[in-house]
Amino acid sequence: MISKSKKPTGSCNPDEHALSRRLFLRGLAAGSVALGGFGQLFSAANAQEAARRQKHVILVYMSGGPSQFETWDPKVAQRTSGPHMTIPTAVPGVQFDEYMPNFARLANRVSVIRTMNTPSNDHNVGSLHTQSGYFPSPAISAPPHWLSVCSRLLPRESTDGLPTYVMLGRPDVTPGPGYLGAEYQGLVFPGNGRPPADLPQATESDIQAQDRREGLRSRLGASFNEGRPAHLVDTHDVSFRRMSNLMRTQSAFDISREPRRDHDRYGPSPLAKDMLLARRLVEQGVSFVRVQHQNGLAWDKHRNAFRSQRYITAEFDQAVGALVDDLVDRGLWEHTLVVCMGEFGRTPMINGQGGGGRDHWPRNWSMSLGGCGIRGGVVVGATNQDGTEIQNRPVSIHDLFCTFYRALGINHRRQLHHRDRPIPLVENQQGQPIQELF
Amino acid sequence: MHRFLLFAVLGIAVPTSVFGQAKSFGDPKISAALDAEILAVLKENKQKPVGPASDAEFHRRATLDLLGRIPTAEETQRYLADKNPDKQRQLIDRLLADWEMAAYWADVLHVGMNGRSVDPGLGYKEFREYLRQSLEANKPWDKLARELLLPVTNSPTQPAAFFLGSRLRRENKEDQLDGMTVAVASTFFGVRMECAKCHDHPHVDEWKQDHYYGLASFLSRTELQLVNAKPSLRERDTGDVTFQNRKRDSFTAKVMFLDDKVFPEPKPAAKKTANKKDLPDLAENSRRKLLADYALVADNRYFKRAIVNRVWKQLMGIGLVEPVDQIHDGNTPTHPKLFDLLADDFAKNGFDLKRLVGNIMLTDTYRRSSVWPEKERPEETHYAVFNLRPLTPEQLALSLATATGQVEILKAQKKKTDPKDLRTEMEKDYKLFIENYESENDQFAATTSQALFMTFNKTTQKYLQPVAGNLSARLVKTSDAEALARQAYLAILSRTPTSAESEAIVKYLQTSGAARDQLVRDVLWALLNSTEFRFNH
Repeated sequence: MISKSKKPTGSCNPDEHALSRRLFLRGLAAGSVALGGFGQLFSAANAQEAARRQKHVILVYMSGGPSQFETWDPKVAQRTSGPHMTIPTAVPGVQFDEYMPNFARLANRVSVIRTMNTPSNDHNVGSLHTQSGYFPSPAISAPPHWLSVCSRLLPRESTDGLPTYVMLGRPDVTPGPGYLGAEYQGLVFPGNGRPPADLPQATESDIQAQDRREGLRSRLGASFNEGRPAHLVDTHDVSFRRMSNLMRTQSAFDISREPRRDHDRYGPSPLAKDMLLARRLVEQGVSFVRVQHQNGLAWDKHRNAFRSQRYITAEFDQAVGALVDDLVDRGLWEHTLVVCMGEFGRTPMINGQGGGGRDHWPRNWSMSLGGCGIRGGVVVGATNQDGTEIQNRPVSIHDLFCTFYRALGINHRRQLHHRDRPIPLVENQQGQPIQELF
Repeated sequence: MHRFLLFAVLGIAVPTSVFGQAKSFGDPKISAALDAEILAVLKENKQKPVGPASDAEFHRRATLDLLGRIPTAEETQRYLADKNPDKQRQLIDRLLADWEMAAYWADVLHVGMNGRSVDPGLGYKEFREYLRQSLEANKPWDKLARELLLPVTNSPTQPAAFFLGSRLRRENKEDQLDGMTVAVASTFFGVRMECAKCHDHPHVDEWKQDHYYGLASFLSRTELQLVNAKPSLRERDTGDVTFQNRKRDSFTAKVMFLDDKVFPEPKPAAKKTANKKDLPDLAENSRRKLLADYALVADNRYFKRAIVNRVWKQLMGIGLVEPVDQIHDGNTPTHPKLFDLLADDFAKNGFDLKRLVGNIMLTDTYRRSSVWPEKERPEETHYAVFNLRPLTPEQLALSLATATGQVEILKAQKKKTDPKDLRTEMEKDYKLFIENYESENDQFAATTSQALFMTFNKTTQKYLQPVAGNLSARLVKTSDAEALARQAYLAILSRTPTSAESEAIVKYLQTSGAARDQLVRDVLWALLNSTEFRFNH
């Protein structure tokens, strides 16, 4: 949520204007349906049917920069090897870190890129770059998070009141909706499986009371809004309608309703709770979920790395593994793109005395993705024997973004408009989808 | 005297108070000249401005802009009842002299210089108090800027060390120097040069690497010391800045200002101070002092325009140049003559910030209605209609507390202490509002999370509970529903309700099956969450 570039407040651009109108109307429609009757509003069967047709993304963001050596690109008996061992996977010849038995088991479904190559070794720059596809610069308007872009291009066709895009766990530095505007901001949840902050446990009479006073609020506000800029006043009003709708859907956020055995399969970590919540939300129709793996920069292990590396790798493996299993079992895998990545990787050499660790390394790092038509069991690219360099097939952030959009059925050469300027989805229309993954 | 002449010419009765007890800050002649420039651009675009805002709207707008909060019900009633034709001007003068103005604008200046941070770090409270006192004394901007660059340890200006000192708390040397350079460039000179750090600026011909590192050279010898856990600045007498260009050729930076003026290295001091602890505030050959002496003066174009552009934006919603700190030849101001006129008047009149604010607020442009009756609203930069501005997180926090009577309760509880503690008292609430309302990129954002915060958060809901002395308690006791509607509108929306609005509330209070307490709270909630409350209009 940073950006140093300033844009004139509230300036009116025709594109956004039209959009907020449209959303405003949709908000109204949602409101009136909602008022029609609480009981029939939310039919679980219908929602699940709609969820099946729709595309979803679950992005697990591993802030701090996960070590490729201790995840998807381990090296055996090299000067760069750490203390962990490696294990074979379902794909012959491919080895993962020993604390990733689930990824090893699922290696036929999920694919791996071992040759991500990006320019920055700075957390903030890397985080903005790898989640917007644009290298951050004060000279350009803030580019949106790619899930904000998806929210704009693949809006949900549903009036159930659920948000399109949610962020589980408060992110550190992460792109917001940028020039797309607040409509496309993900709804932030506090993390650890908890529902949005301040959302009450509302009974039906609470909801009726809220509708009653919301009625008064919008009645009294109508005359003020006349002659005032719609892109400001409508946005404000829409946020209250969305809240009213959200109150009706809170069972969607309640993971205590999930069976005990599911909690056990996902594990005891806060990430596990959020992955379970992510599954629950996607099942009920939420399109895009960004999951923050632990607060702060948990994967940023410079010192005493190997005292704690195995725990973070293992909790990640267990929670994501259980999620993939469930998505497959429930028929959602074909429509849900699952992406696990951080802002860069870690240095081949283990630095520091005794309790050392690995520093930032953007030149060759690993990540994983699967579902939504991504071919399983593929390992894209290879690093050399000790992992200090890319041996073949470097993948740029642009290639990756082209791949994301292709998987979601979005033309990756498409342009959006901001202040009458065309802005391509992928920076300077660079990159190509990774053919091996389709 | 010109003031008197102008009024005589226009045939306006001049109330004695203008020349009597109250000091007058703005100059109507300047304001009229600013209006003329705005009208000229409107004419070029074949546009006509709308008429003035209503009395109540102007009163709320001016109070929000100068005190950072909506007016109280009493203030509104007094203002609406005032029949003096010159009351707008008197209001501006009164607000500019108010202690609350200094407290609020201390925040405005702080945010402009340092950004919003929930945890701004060591020396922040003292810094804000230093800014507040400076504004209360209407310290000239050139003097204030000089103190920010050259604070004196163990003197009243030591807290100013926070400005550069907070940048010196960053982890590595390069970030420290970059932080100081960027802050000084943006705050005092209205330029942003980050791009010129690694290579000559790609879009702005004016900015070369020599400029970025030239400015950095004035600052690079600065050291941070903690004196009684308070930041204090020291200066070494040696050390140069070196940098590389894209071809990896290395250079030693010249001590050079933005206008290419190069300073030869002053004679080094006779003996070198070895121990960091014994460093003086300023080295004998101080480079920071060189910068202050050369650049913080009336005929420096960068210096006088930077703050004028920010203050204009603060009051009008958009800068004469945008982004507000990218003032350079390739980025033409929307109203070039107006910009020079205002900046020259500011510099000529002793960098008087209150005069600057007064000059802007006395224009017809500032006093326009925010309602555009036709379909296509004109560009914000034309000022044909007043620009709607969302309340800042700080304004929201204080306005909510003012409307609901929380401020009075706090004042009563703190009877024995200075009312200036109010801001400190509310620090926790401010932080909550900043967390929820700080928006990326200065863009207006209304999110579901904010609606939840204003509807169900414990802190915000506490204000709606009836507590002896607050609005909710008063309204619960008011049995006449029309009187209740009037009180609620005066307290929250700073105006009286129309008859239709009053009727809607009377009808709402008759809802069956709900407790009256709850219905009264609903009315408060509905008004506090209206678009009319959310924006400065």
